[in-house]
Amino acid sequence: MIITGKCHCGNIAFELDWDGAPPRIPARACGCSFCVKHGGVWTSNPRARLTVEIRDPSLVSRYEFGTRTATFHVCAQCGIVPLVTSEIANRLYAVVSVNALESVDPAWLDRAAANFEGEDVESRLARRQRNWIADVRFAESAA
Amino acid sequence: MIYLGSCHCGKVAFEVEGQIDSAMSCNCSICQRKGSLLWFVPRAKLRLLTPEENASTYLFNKHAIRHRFCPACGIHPYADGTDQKGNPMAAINIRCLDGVDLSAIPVTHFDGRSK
Repeated sequence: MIITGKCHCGNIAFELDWDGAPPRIPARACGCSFCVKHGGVWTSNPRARLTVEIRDPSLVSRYEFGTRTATFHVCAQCGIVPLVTSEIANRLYAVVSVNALESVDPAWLDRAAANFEGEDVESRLARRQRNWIADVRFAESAA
Repeated sequence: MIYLGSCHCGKVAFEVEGQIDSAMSCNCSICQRKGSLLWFVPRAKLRLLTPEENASTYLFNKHAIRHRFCPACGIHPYADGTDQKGNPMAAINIRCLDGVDLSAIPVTHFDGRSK
């Protein structure tokens, strides 16, 4: 099933190919310092395929903090953060914001709290390799 | 009570005075993506501690509300607007305030999506 999402102005849009119809979508409300301020709720599926389309790359800020192993893609035009990526062993992994998904039935969401405080970097990267979307492509649309 | 608030990277910081009795969670296209919990105060109660221009502004639809956000970290600490009588107001995202136990603040859900 294809699920779409975007920031508010559409500069960062994505298409997620997710198995299952209807799909079961985990929705993790993260308790880290960034996500508390952001109201961040994220999802991923290691079997999903993600295609990200950026209209104007100059209007995307990349924000990192803490271990600096994850990159938050911020639309500099509307301020929305539709996805986070992490490059591990030359492979790009991603989670997308549940709040940026379109046409998703709330009944498909399995909401839960998540807190990864205290996790060391090695376990963190291993967890991302297990759980995050492992097929991530960026397509820059022709301006 | 005076609360200190900021985005995540600290480029936008402020203080705001008042009593937080409740917060509003809205499901409209922008509020859902911002993930904000809003508390409305007269604009005069919000004092920026960083230059005004540090926060970018996003406008859409009727351009009635100026959505202010940090262009570096993508946090939306506040929005500017006016109330029905034309008084300048600020919508503070209480997620950005220091020392607030979010689980202790009653949340009102507003169906902005259907408006």
